[in-house]
Amino acid sequence: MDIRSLVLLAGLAVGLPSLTGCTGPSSNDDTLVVYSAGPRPLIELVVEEFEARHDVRVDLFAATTGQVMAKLEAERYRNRADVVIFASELAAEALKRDGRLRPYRPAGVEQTHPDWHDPDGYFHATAAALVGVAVRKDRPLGGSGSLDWPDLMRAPHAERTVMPSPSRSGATGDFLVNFAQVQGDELWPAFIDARTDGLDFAAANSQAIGGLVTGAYDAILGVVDYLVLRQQVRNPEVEMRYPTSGAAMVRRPIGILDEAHAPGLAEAFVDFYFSEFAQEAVAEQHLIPAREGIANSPERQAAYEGMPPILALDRSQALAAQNRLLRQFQLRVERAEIPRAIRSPAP
Amino acid sequence: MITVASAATRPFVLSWASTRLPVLLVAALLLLGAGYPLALLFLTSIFPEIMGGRFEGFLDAYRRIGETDGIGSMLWNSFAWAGSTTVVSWILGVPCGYLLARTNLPGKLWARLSLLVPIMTPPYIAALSYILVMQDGGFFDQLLGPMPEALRAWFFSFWGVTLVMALASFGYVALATEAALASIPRRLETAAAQLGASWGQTLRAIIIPLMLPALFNSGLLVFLEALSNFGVPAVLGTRANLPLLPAEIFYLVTSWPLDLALATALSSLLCLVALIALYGSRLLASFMGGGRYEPETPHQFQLGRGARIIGLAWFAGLFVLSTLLPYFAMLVTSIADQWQGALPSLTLDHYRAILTPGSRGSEALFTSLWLAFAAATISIFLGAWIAYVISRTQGWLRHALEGLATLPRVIPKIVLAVGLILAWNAFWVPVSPYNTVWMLLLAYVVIYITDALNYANSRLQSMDPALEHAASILGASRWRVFFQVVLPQLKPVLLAAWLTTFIVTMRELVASILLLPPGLDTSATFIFNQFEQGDLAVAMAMASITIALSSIVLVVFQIRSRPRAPT
Amino acid sequence: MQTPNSDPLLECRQLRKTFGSHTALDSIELQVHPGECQVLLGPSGCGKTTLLNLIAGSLAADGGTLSIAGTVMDDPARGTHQPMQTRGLAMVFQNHSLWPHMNVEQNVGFGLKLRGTTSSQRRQRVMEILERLQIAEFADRAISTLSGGQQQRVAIARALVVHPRLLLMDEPLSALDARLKEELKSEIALLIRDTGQTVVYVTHDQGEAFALGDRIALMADGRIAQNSTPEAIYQSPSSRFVAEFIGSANILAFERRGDEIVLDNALRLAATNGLPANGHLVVRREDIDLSPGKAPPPDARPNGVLPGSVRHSRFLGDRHEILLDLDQGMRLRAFHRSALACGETVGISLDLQRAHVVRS
Repeated sequence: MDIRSLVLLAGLAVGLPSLTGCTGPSSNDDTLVVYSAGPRPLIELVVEEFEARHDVRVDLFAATTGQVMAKLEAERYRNRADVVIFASELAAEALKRDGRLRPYRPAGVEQTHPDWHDPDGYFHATAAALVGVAVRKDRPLGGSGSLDWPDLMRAPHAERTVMPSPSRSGATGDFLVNFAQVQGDELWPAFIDARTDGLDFAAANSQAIGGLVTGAYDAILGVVDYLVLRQQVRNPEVEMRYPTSGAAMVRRPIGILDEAHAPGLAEAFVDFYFSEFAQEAVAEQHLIPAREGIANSPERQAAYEGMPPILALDRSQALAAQNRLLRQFQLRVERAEIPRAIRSPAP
Repeated sequence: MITVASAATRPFVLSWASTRLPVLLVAALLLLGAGYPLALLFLTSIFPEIMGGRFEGFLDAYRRIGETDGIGSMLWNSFAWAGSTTVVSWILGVPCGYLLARTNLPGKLWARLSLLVPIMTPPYIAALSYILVMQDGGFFDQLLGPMPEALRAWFFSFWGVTLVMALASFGYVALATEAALASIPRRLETAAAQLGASWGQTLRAIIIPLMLPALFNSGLLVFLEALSNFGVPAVLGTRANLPLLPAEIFYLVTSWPLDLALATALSSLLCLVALIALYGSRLLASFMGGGRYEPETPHQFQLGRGARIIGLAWFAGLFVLSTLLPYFAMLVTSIADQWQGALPSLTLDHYRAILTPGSRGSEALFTSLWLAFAAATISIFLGAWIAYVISRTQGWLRHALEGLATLPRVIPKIVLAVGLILAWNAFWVPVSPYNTVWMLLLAYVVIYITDALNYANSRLQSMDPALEHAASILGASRWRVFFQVVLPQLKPVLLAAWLTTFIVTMRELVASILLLPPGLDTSATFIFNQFEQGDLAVAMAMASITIALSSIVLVVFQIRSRPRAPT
Repeated sequence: MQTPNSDPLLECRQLRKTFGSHTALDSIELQVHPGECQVLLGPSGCGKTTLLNLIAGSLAADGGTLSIAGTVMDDPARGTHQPMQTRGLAMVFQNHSLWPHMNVEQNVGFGLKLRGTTSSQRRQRVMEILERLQIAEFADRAISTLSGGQQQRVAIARALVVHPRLLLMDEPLSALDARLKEELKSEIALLIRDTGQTVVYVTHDQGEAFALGDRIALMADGRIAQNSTPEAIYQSPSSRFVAEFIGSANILAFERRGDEIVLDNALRLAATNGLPANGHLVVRREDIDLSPGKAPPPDARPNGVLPGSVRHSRFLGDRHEILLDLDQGMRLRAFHRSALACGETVGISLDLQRAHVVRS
């Protein structure tokens, strides 16, 4: 290869992405930037339909709640996003308290559960899910009729149990904050013991569910139910269970950034998320739709009758505690050096 | 030159600037690329609110490091882990280097190749593969029967993670040892032998002390690589109950609750350690002396049958552990469909899912390919030019520029990535590449241009400036001299640099994952995300494709450059 | 210098060394007696370094025998090859042979340490030899801080301090600049004569060979062309190659025709007694006498004076070297006391009595 062809290649290398449209999003007025926590198929479907209906471009960043928050934090002094959707109410609350959201009352919000939303109107829950326990029917825990949290946090079951990282999964994070409120100071010894007995942490819900499906684990602690219900369709031996002392309800709020570049489009998008179309897409992903009158998915209907018991939550206290709690959990439990008792051989 | 007459009439500053234009340009590029992000990182760690224009919370983040439980032990873990990785790499690599340089071991070409494969394999992929082998119900259990739980516990612990990292890096030590041994002239040993020194005495008194600088340097490389490695701790660290610094920084920057200030403080510490290690080792090396010699065919020992078998077994064993086992796990997982009993039914669905045009996998692969291509190409041209300008500069300015240019090599990539996030999200930046794919390209060039610089430097040092002067005297412009005199001479080394840069950017994980724009994946982040989502089969299919592509590029280059004389 | 008829310290008989199909050394016969300095002289590639390596034991011979002090070291026919540790030798290399991680004293003391001397003894002997070589002040210095000449002094000290049976020197001066070379050359000469050290000295520089050698073995193409005293090798070269390599002689092919000889098929001179029918005449530059302005007429040369003109004159310090053009395009080099103008005609008389004849 001679120098001339190298120069040509250099030109090609730089020119190629612009030809193939690989360039990053540009901030035009007719472009909407949406940051959303999963599930990806849902947000992709909603975005696609919105683009078609409004003839605009939507730049989508779909990731975990943690990653979305990270991006917003990095862009704190140089905001890019217009709309954010979280899997965690507490994340939205934190953003609101930083003054980075603007209040808005979406069209159609009157047809939703009023107590799911921020009373000040800064964010609105588009959907909800329950955090509980997933088990395999062919393993000991699957057989037990009633199941409560401590069952999974003690030997012998802890060593075959996995928990999604509360820092990575917004839903599990909300659950942990809620659970800590209920448990009080007993939370720490309980989790440290569980870790000693072999409790593992997975990066995200889906990694934990993957482990359950392959049989590496018998149970998942603090898993969000819609993912398990989705898995049930393909793997009937996986089962969602709701602890007798109460599951946590986590809501998935949507909000508009205060410094949104395209506030008009952002409002239209939020409105659209509460439309019948979008809410049916929500239900299809086995989430609980915010809009009343939209039926739950058949799998969810089969999972429980009425509503399982829900853990009590003091939202303002949870908000005050969450940052410290999650960080402490990382350092004291999740990533701490805790000597582990040697496992007994797999059954 | 032509400007002599007019220069005298121009204002002094202007003529100063014009004669030094290349140097100023290089200084500006280096400062903007690496200096500015790192400076901002340090500033943010000291004044957490500086990005918002406020000077509150002076040293708050550092105070928090001291106050938070677990961070101290994590720092200690990180150093201990990087240190043990270095020692294990020495133990594995030095015998390999000795066998290659000083014995008549058969099949040295293959032995050398077997060292290159693990160097080429991204450590996070090796770590993922090892999880597949060692986990409960993994390949070991499936194929060899239930693994002793003590072995599993050992693997998912400090030493297991150390082993995985050492298996990925012992090749450096082996090759450095070989090169060092080969460069020790035979007469240094002959002189000792003639004075009556036995083989053991010569080894102890002459060879080992002379090899120390090389051992030390390769060890330093491994240490820094381990200390700043993100992939292995991120993949294995939690399982092994081993919290390490780079992964912690990553979590602080990417997961809820975020703490950018703490991340910058920890990054600064990591950076400081890396710099101390580097300059400390240089100081130590200058004490240890060690000269340069012209290369010579070194003395080779004739191995007996037994020794030969042991030598080959050593290489074979390392090859099995570092390459065969992880590659086997990777390939089988990538084509496994349903596990029934010991062997799975096979499918190519995972590959199909990646290679289908328009799929996320194919897009990630394409993004990685053109990014690596562009980054490598830009790096070699820019790197050659920067190296050229620096090599023709004198005095303190040269030292300053050299220091600045080699900085990204030493600074852990995660630190640089955090610095780049801060730097290009600051409110004073008029146009920012952040959130576009250009940010990734910028990061790759900033991080990996040091390879091109090093390659170009090695050639420039042996190049006579008289050739350029000859062209200048004939009236060639600065650019003409560079493109028509300097660049052609650098061609062979630049091609090698291109190849290296292409391969490393193809697999780059940590900067990519931190700097990716919305909706875009590279092959490395695709693998990592699939792992986090629990879809290991697709992750492994992508890993196989990435490694295969890198290997193809490597082989094509090897074949094309074979007829030429070695450089 | 001891009597040459004592038992040889080093003896090579029919020594042969091959590298693949290339024969590097063949039929080497060499005897070095105690106290002698044997120089191995020759152009690069002549095999002198290979011979030195055979003596040192870093190479094994392929044929013949090599003994040191009566003990057979190499006898490939019997499978004998003694490792270099046992040969009791020391070697000074061309350059860069000092251990860079040790200081001067440690380098020099290494051999003594291996021999188990106490550290005070060692220190004393090291300092003695360093003083002898005028480098005592550098005892604590790192090798990399020394100049090339100082490094070679250290290398010599390191070899001499253990009193080796045989000291091997492999072009020890060739990496030094001219002035240092002169200085160290005479110093080495004095040192080996004072200590009575037996030396095998390899060089391609005949100045060194003459200054140091008791005997000079001139080597070519893996064989010894001539091995004799410096005077003998200079005055009575055994072949044209030897004559050409030693000193810048004029070498003229001659043919005898009756009472005349014809040089280079062109110039006729009166023959002297004892000349064979043909051969080469070696005429040293100092054996040509020039008479400026006294060129004989073209056809009259009964006294052996030839006409010529000055082509070039080169100043050598104590005399001038004159390049002369003769008839028929012949050229000669001669010495003269003073410079001669370019183009000046001269009468050239060759001292055929002192000229040496080598056969074709």
